[in-house]
Order: sequence, then structure tokens, then C-alpha cells
Amino acid sequence: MLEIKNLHASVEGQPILKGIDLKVAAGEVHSIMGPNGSGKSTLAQVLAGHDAYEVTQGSITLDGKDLLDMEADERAREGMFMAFQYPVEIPGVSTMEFLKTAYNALREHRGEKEVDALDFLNLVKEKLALVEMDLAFLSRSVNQGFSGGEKKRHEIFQMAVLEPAIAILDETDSGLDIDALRIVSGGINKLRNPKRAMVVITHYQRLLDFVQPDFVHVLVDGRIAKSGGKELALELEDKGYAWLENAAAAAATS
Amino acid sequence: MTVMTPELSGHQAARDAFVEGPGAQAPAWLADLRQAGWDRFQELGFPTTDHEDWRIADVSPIAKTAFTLPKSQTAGADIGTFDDLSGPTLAFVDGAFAPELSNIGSLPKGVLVMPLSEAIVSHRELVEPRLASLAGDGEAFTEMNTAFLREGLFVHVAKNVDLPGAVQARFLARASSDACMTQMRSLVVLEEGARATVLEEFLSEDEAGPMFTNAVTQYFLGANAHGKHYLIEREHEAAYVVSSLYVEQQRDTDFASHSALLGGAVVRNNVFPTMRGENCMSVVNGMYIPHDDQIHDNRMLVRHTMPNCQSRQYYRGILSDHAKTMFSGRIVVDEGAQQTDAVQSNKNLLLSRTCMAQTKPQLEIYADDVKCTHGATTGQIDESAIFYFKARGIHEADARRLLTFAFVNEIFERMDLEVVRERLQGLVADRLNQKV
Repeated sequence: MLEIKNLHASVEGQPILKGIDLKVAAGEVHSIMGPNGSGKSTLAQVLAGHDAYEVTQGSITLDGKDLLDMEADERAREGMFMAFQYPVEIPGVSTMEFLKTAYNALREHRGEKEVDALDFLNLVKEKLALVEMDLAFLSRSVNQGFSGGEKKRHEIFQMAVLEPAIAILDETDSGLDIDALRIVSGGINKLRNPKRAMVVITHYQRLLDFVQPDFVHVLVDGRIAKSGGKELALELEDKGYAWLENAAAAAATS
Repeated sequence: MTVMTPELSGHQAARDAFVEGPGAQAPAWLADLRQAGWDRFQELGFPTTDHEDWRIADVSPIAKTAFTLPKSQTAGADIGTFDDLSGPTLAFVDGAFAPELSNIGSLPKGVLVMPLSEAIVSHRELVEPRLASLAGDGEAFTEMNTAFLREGLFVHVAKNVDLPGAVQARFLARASSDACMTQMRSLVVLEEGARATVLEEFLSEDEAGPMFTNAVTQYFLGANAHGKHYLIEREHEAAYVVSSLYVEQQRDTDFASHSALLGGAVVRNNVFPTMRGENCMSVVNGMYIPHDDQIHDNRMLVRHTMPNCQSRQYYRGILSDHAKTMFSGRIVVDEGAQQTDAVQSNKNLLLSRTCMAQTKPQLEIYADDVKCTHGATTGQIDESAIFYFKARGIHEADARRLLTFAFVNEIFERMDLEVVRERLQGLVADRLNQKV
């Protein structure tokens, strides 16, 4: 499904990603962990198509299609979804209007006609339940005045409505208390299915107690320093990142 | 002895024509009021851009043009369809009341709605002291308006009467090869405990040449009255417009002014509420959406004269092309107006590199226990918001349109007349869809 080859990316001329290779197949959940500044969020932004990041080498394909050829909106319509670490507040645009516009853009892309208002309302009601949000959210401006937990639940709710082929969850767990984490991860688990891939980016092992990954990768200084199964996350919990950082530094200087 | 400048002498002919024509047969008190207005206008003269309050709104074209009074032909005039609100509708064409285009209908007991020219004759006691109350306020265009005072909307709502829906008045300027001017004066009086909403809309037929609209509205709220005012400005883009709303609030009153500026070459929009009693609320809410070379100049003067009053100013502008705007928000808190709570916010969205928005908060506070806050921003569309939309599959053009429109959404949300709001949203969307 998603294939990343030798990906190098810079921001303002500063190289951040220095050669990432990753294959994610349908139905799999991969977790990307790593210390602060290792390039985790950059990877998410590059996958989503943020134009502040320049890809200098390598390729990203989704089901064989070259994502680097596409703008962010086109990638999204092709099935790419990123849950933002810092969801943007949009005063004056209701959540309902935002989501309906996005949903219809997706339908148009697939050659389908605009969704019927009542059908959409029913769909939205069903998806809200996944993250225990109520209908009142939809009349509020997008993310405006939402608590940290509400913002993250809102991201997962959008994923539920848009049903992407692949979801990149960028530190969706950061800043959540245990109740919010339970709701958010419950939502994520309900959205796992054999056709959908997920890349869960997190700094903490805690999320992985709730969302069990098939694979864990550790990003250090823009490269994947180690890959393994979910037991790798536990090892990191015990040992921290220092041993991998030291190894990476040694490899870089040798 | 006043030395008449060339600018003023150009308007003397119009004044003479008025006195001998439509202004003839006025009662003596009105003739005197007009003459006093004309005298003071001549003393003041037209403001120039050297004057701090008139730096943006260059009114020299008004001064230099010998505007004439229109002929007031109503046959074939298209006033459009009034909004579907209960309440009377009044049409004025080229400064004259057009009964065939109006529908005052049956009014609740205690409500008077009629053209001002009629009220001058039939309700002098309600009209005269209020019309006279603006004398000498120092605003040249207000004095000029008084000099030509004759017609406009008159509304009177008796004690504790609730006028449902809204009174709608439309002022249409017809196309003319002459440079025509209209000087409308509207008077709205809500007695104690009364409630009413008044909507005034200025529109024109297609541009034929320069024109000048100088409108003054006086809005009086007796104790515990609740009043709302809507102003919609959409005259053609060769129109010079000065619109002044004077509001007098007695104690426990609740007032809201909603303005939407779309038209005009140069529009000066004055909103001057004065809270004369305790426990008042005054909301000044508006938007200006100029494009091309339009100039929209908004000047607010909110006066707190008594304790425990609140005022709220919310103005937002979306500028494109070469538009220029000003928001000058003056709040005066008199000595003794303790516990004043005043908020002012002006935000501007710039859609081009060649437009210019200026904002000037002015707080004059003579009391020591007050809360006055003001804030102003000028900027472009938030690119991180655009990315958020795009990351959800929304086309960039749609994202820009939605975000631009959203900028004035909170101004719309304060407008409680749903049909008016929806019509305005359509007008604003039509304007913005060509710009983003």
C-alpha cells in the first residue's frame, strides 16, 4: 500500500529526513517512535504534503501512485489522512460545513454525486458515537475553543467519516489524560480493518498499550535506527532512546 | 460674515433651488432650522484630507461638484423585493417618498410609520425637538443635511409597544446624467419599554455619473427600550456617500447597529451612540467589503456618560484590489461613568497586495474604575488553515473561499434577522467569489 524509499527531506535547507525506507501493507498498524527532534512529525507532514518541507531524494507511493506528484488535497482524496498533532482552529467555519465539504470533495473525486443532507447527518451521528462526541460539536467552529482532548477526538472522528486507505496519526496521544486516551484509542481500534493501514507516530509507549501495533520502528536523526515487533516498544520503555541515539551517532561518525 | 469658498458657492445653487422648490411651504420652525444648518455648514465648510478625521475619505469631489436635486421620477423605478419580514415597507426614490412602491399596511396600536415630510406636518411635537437636537454638533455633513431636511423615514413606537418584524426603508437613486444628491433624514423614536427594528438600505440604478448621498438617521431609545438598526449600503461605485447614525440611549436600553458596506466610491459610515442613562448596552457591529478603488471609512464614537453601561464594537473588513479602509473607533468615558465595560475589535483581511486597511482605536477615559479593551488585526488568510483544509481533501480554491467568507461570519451571527442575514451572505459571497 504505502511505500517509502530512501526519503530525504529538508525544511528551510536543513535536512531532517535522511533516508527512510518503509513499507506498510493494508491492514497493518505500524508505530513510529523516537526522541524529540528525530523527524517523526516531519515524516507525517511530508506524507501529508505540507509544502514547507522539500523532498530532496527518494519516493513515496500509495498503491503504486506517486504521492510526491500530488498536492496535499489530491493525496487526501486518494486516501491519505493525517491526524494533526496540533489541529488548526478555524473560526467562522462550522465543523459540519468543513466535514461536508471534505466528504463531497472525496465523492466528487470518485465520480459520485453530492451527499444528501439527511444521509450525511445520519452518517455523522453514527461516527460521532465512535469517539463519544455529541452532535452539538458540529455546529461549533472547527476546533475553536475545543479542549486538547476534544481536538484529538475530532481528528479521529474526521478519520471515521472520511474512511481513508491509510491514516498517519501524528502524536495523537500527546497531551491526553487517561480518559481521553481511552476514548481516542478506542476510536482508532474501531477503525482498524484489513483494508486500512495506519502509521501511529508517538513519543510514548503508553498509547501502544491501547493500540497494539504490528510493527515498531524507531526514528533517530532522520533514519530508522531499529525495527521490530511490539516488544520493541516495551524495550524502549525500559531502556529509553539513548542507546539507539548513541549507536546512531557512532554509525554516523564511523 | 462668512467668505464663501468656491466649493460652497457651487452648492448655493442647489440650496436656492431647494428653498424655492421642494423646500418651499415649510413651517417657519423648519425653515429656521434649515437656515441655521446651512449657516453652520458654510462656517464649517467641507472637510479636507488635512483633517485627521478625513484623511482617508477624500470628499473633495463632493465639494467640487455642483450637485443638483434630482427630479424624483418614480415611474418605472425598481426598488427590488423587500425582505420577507412582517412590518411596513417604505420606498424613497431620488429623495421622494414613493407611496405606490410602499406598503405601510396596518400598524399595531401605538405605532406611527410614515414619511418624515408627513410627520413634520402632523406630529410636530414629536419631530421638532429631536430634529433640532443635532444642531451645532460640528459635523459639516450633518449640518448640510439639516439645511436640506425634508424627507426620510419616521417611526414612533409608543410606551411598551412591541413592533414585530422590522420597518424596512429603501432609498433608491435613479440613473441620471446630472450629478444628483439626496439628503435624507430619518427619525426613529422608541418610547419607554418599546421595541423595534429598522432596516435602511441604500441602492441605486446603474451608474450614470457621480452622485452624492448624505443620510442622517436619529434613533432615540426611551428607558428600557430595545432597538435595532440595520444599514445596507450598496449604491453604485461612483457614489459618494456619507451616512450618519446618531443614537440616544436612556437608562436600561439595549441597542444594536448592524452595518454592511458593499457599494459606493467613497463611503463614510458614522455610528455615534450615546448612553445617557445607566445600565445600557450598545452594540456596533458591521462589515465592509470594498474592492476595486472603493474607500470605506468607518467612524465610531461611543459615548459612556453614566455608570454601568456596556458597549461592544465589532467591525470586520475584507479588502481586495486597490480598496482603502479606515476604522476609527473612539470610546469616550465621561467622568462619573464608573463600571463602564467597553470592548472594541476591528479585524481586516487583505486579499491583495495593493489594498490598505487602517485602524485607529481612540480611548478617552475620564473615569477611574472602568474596563476598556480594544484590539485590531490586519492580515492575510492563515496558510496553516489552508493546509488543514487541503489535508482533508478540500480543493485549495474552496478552502480560500470558505476561509474568506468565515472571516465575517461572526458579524453575520450577531444579525438576528435571518432573511436579511441570508440575503447579505449571498451578496457578500457574490462579491468574494470573484476575488479569491
